[in-house]
Amino acid sequence: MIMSFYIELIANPTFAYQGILFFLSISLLLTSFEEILNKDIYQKRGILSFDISKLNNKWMLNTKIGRFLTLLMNENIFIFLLYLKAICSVYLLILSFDTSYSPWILMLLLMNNILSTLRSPYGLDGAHQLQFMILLSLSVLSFNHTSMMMHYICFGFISMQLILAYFIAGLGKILSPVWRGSYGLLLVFSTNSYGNEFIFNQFNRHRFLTAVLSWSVILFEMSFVGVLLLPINLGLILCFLGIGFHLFNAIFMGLNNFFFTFLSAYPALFFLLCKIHG
Amino acid sequence: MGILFFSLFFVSILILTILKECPKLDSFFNKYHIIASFLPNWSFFAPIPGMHDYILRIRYYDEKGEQPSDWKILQKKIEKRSYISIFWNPKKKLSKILFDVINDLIQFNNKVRDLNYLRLSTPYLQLLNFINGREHPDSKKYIQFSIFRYSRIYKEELLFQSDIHPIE
Repeated sequence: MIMSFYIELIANPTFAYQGILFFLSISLLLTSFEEILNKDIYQKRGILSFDISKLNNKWMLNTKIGRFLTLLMNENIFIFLLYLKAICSVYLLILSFDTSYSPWILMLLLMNNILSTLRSPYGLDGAHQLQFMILLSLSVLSFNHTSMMMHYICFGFISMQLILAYFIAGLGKILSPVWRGSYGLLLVFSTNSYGNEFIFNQFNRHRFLTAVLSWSVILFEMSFVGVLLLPINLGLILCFLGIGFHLFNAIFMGLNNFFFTFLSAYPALFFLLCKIHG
Repeated sequence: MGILFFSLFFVSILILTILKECPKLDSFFNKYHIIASFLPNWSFFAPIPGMHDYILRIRYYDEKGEQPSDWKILQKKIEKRSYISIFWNPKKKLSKILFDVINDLIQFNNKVRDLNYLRLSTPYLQLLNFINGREHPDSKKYIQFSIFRYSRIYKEELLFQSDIHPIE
């Protein structure tokens, strides 16, 4: 009874849209606050000084659109855009409790994401890339939200990006002798950037445990490709494993933005799972 | 019509996402790097994960050719993360950018092996600009930076040493 209620709820396209918006707005809000706190990096003497990074993009200096974008990416306007991103994210969070669609806010956030990508490739991670993909598809959806087919297309696109993210990561690992030899996890956790001293010591002491966990990560990532084709119970188990995987990464690897950004793609996948399995 | 257009649009992005992972197509994606920069790179920590942290050090010269000062750490080693970093981890931003810039510099250095060429590259100029933007003693006129790498497995080792530059 309760299960069927939840399945009916997540099979509702508007509810799935709201779920995506909710987690996406949290991830965007966190990203924008972290960027605002580090705003010195975008200044003339910062590590992401635009005076230098634009030298890498000759088209910015030689074309009209490039020169216009250059204006938007100079440090003062760009920092203003970071504040605008934070405000839009708060607004998006509020909107996620409402059933209305919000194309212009999503378009503003999408433009903001595009400008960050064009300004400099340094410091952008998988969370930023997934945010772009979700913002792109939700912007398209919110302009065409009356079409049920458009919901399938946009949620299908988000789900496929999520599946590809795991599958490509798993494939890359299984083709790598470092990961096949079970050294991948040990090496990652040996750094301070993504590692953790306690976990590293455990992995270093218990090599069998490291091997089991390394192969579990590879098998989980590779098997995720079957999430839509497997029976719904197995599909849901894979989804919850995925969420747990990101929670572990947030706790022990400091990948906090990945957690909320990847979580925001899951309502789209849940929606498709329910539709495929009736 | 709209449905067909957007279906094709999203399918194209998915195909390009897969193709971007093919090493044989690197030259194609390097040529169209603006398009490639919007395509995700999903091969997290593969095939070879990042196995080092970097330390940025600087030293000063009163005059070029004179005895330099001792190396001084410019960018602190990353400290232990607190458990609040599950939700709030702003230190990661600068450390990730520095990691990417240094990685790019090292890869470029391995390719060209020519400091004259390297010091015109974007990562070198970004680092020099960042270092110049820090506070320095007024009496010092020249600066040099170096990059060391280390981890819990590997001992600290010098990876790169820059040219000597006037402090701006």
